[in-house]
Amino acid sequence: MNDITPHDGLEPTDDLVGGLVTGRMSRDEFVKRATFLGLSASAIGGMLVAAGKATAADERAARGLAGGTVNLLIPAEGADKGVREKIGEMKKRLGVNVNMTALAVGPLNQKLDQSVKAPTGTYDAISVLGFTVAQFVGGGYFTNLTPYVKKLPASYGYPSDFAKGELDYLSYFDIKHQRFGGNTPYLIPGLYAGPIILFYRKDLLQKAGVQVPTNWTQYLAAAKKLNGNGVAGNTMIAKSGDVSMFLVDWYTRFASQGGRLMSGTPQAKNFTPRLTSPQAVAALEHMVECVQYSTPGVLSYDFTVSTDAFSAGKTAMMLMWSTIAGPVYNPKTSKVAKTVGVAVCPGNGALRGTIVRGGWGMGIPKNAKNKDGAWAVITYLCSKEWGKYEVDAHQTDPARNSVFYDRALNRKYPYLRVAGQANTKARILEIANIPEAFELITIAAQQFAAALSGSSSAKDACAKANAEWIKVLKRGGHLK
Amino acid sequence: MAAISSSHRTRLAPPTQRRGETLLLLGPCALYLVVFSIFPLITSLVRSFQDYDPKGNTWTWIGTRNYAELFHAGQFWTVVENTVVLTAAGVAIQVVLGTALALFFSQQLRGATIVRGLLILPMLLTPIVVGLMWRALLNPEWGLLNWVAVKLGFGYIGWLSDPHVALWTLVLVDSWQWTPFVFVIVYARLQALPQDVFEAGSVDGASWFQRTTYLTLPLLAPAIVFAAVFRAIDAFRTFDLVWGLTNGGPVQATYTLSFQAFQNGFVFQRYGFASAISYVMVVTAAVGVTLLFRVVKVRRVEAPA
Amino acid sequence: MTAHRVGRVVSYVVMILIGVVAAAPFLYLLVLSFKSRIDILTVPPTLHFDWSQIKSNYGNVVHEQGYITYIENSAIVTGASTLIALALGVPAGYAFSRLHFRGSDTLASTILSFRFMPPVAVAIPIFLMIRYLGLVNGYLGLILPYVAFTLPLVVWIMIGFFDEIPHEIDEAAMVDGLTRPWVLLRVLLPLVRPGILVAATFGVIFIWNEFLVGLYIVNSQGHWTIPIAASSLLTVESPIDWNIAATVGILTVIPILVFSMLVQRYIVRGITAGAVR
Repeated sequence: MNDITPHDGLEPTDDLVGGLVTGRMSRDEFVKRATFLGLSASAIGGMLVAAGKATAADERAARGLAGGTVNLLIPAEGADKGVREKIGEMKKRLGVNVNMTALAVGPLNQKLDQSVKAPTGTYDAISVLGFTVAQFVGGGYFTNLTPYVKKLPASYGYPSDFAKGELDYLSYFDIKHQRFGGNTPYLIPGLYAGPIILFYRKDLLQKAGVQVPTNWTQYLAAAKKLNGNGVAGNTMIAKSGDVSMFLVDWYTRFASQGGRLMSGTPQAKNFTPRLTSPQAVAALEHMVECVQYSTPGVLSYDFTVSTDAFSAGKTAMMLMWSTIAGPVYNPKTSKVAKTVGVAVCPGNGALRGTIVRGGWGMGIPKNAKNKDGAWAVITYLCSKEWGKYEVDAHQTDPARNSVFYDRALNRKYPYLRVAGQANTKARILEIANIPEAFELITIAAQQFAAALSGSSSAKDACAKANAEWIKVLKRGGHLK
Repeated sequence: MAAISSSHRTRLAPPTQRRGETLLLLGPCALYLVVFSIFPLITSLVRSFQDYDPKGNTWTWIGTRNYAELFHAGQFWTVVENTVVLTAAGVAIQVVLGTALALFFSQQLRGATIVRGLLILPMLLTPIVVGLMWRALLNPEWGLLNWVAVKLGFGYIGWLSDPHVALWTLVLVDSWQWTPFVFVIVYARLQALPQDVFEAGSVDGASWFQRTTYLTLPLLAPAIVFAAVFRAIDAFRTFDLVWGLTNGGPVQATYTLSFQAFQNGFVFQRYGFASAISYVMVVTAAVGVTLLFRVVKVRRVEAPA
Repeated sequence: MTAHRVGRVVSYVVMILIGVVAAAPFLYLLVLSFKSRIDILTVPPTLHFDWSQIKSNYGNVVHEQGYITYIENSAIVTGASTLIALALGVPAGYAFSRLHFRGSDTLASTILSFRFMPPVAVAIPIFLMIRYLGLVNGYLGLILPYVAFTLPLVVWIMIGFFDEIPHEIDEAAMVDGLTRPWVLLRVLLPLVRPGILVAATFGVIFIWNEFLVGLYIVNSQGHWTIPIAASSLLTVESPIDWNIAATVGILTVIPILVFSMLVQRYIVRGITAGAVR
């Protein structure tokens, strides 16, 4: 690779060194590009020495670290495969050895918690779930990335390549006021964004003469019409206490009908839940009605089982995280790969497509041992290049707009564009800024399950959930 | 050196040496357990009176508030009920089945050794894998059990989704895994029973049923009771099955004490509250253990004949 | 056919049924591990196998998922923990069997009662302790708690086996001038070897299968034991590759099954050592 034209703003170091050696790149140009890659002075010095272009100062720097180790902690949700496959690449290009640990969300949060609070960190680069940003970034455990970010060239696409909501949630945080947003970055959005879209069977809708539903009334009617002949009109995640039930199925209906989850703020100690509001009850009631046109086992459906049911051809419609689009579109794992369609989720008018914002951001804890190496790894994993690779190889969903709307990828995986649209409209969950977020969601999902199984009315279930939330909020000091 | 007595435990060495020996033999073990068992238990107790703030990584004293919260929450009685049902029903089924199996295998059958070997299998499997197996079997869409149920005309069963069925599904899986345990204990006892008792019984013309009820079962009683109490204490602590199969649902139908402790501690990071729940379990387990040790003598008090 | 013969036939049928019920879930998992993901979704279930699929599943787990590393870790952790537990527990069992002093009964009961502590109760403080000690990145963080969990059972089993050895042997040795620790080491250890094997067997089985505490203690994936790795597959947030999960499940239990077949008699003896006195 002797061509040194920039590819998407991320030049491989092969190109750099090649350019340097052949004389096509000046030392200064090299230093500038290498610095953006996050390479430390000693790594840069080392390369300059290798290319025979080092000044005396460079050689002094080169005697520092050469090829450190970066301990990486990421979720085991599909992107870990793409990361593992690129470990060799990262070693070659960035000169770092990456030790990857991939965990499920629960244990990951545990490890994150342990690592950032210890005197020296176990991990140098960590993926932080949006719901825990307020806890960990807000708690001051992560490095301010401003000095690093300043060195990024415009072609890298930060912040331009990311949806504004995404940056506010997974990049910037205002520690002083304990709020999302602001302009101090602590994380870079990646490995994926996690929007929610509507999956449906094109063939079944066509056969029944049903249009893709754009609002919830149409959705219910479609589910009713499509139900039968061994196929369920729709499925949902109805497993009691399941976080995704709340986020995917309930919150989507709630937010896209104009619901507002909370009033007040934690700081003012008047953070009050509004689970008894009309939109909240209506959302739950809608789910209860949808259960009628669902499979018999829907009450034990979690993410996995629901997706499997769709892949097996048993369902006509479902709302789901777009991360599962891959397996559903893949003929090796899905029987309906050829006839899947996706659309933005239904909703009232302009609110159509409003969903909860998910996703992850990558950051460097303050107690990391190898910050420069961590930064190099993060810039690589959050780059357009890796994003495109991961989508192409494993069909998880990306975090960057350029990948969501990439023409070549969309020809192969048509769900991307829709997911991109959903990603733009996603809304930060109103309780994401308090540490009790998971607990609250679990409680709500437990209470809602009572309505779904018929042992309680939707109104009562919402009232109970609301009462439980008030207890927890008071306990946490967010409500007087 | 003191004189040797042949039938009593002998005090052969002077007291100081004895103490030294005791220390050497018992010391390391006791010390290890103090550090890794007693100390954590005490810490747990202390923590149960505190509240943990995940953000600041700090602990604050709140007295008995955790316990108050635990006992006053409406769901406490649901949790207790679930735990009790899971324990009691499970143990009852396992004891009856295990004893029946032991009696069954008391007859000479060719190939029994192989089947007995298979019977031990469930106990040895890693609990997560047991969870995985049954999650597959009970899968609402393609699981084998529902396919069989439908074929046999029972229709679709919501093993893990029906709130009324879920707890019993756990009882079923637990019994599958641990009945062999009861079986082994009772069977060994059965094998150890003196045969002449049974000879006498059949000479008297007693039927098999009468012999079993009036002779065998009473003789087996100590083993059965031991197995029952042992299983009860273990079943009380069951966590893996709930975690692997139902996650406490549906609608809290399988929400047990140990799961509640786990969820509050490791998921919600409310370590103080979780410690309180754990302590309630510790106290209950302690009661159970005291019971067990009344039934089973820990050490032989007399020297062997 | 006489009633007796009918009875025999029924007995054989029942026996086969018992065997099937005991083994069926395991066999089901085995079958799943042979299939492709999409094949699993088919109802009614089919039984035809594709050798290349089987190779692919197992190859995936062994190579890509780092199964070999996990087996090594499990072996190291289990071996070390069992050995340490034996080193501490055998002398203690001996002491409880032979020596009686004030409070020895209470002490014995207390030690044994630890076996019944709810794991959740000790998991949290132990986890906090290991974290505080900074041992979260290696084998030691796992070995230390595992020894503690196994010790009570080892002591219990060893007391039973030592009790079966007549005191006269001790006394004879002591007449020859040996102190008790030497009596144990030189004279009794060979005699009580079956007991040690029983205790070791149980230690191995229990530690090999442990995952809850381990999952939360060990930070680096390179130090995971098999059950911990397997548990990460039962996550809720990504579609389970059932065939891969089944393969991991099978590979998780194969070692323990092989081990158990070899030590079958010890398992039975161990369980009954508590009951049959």
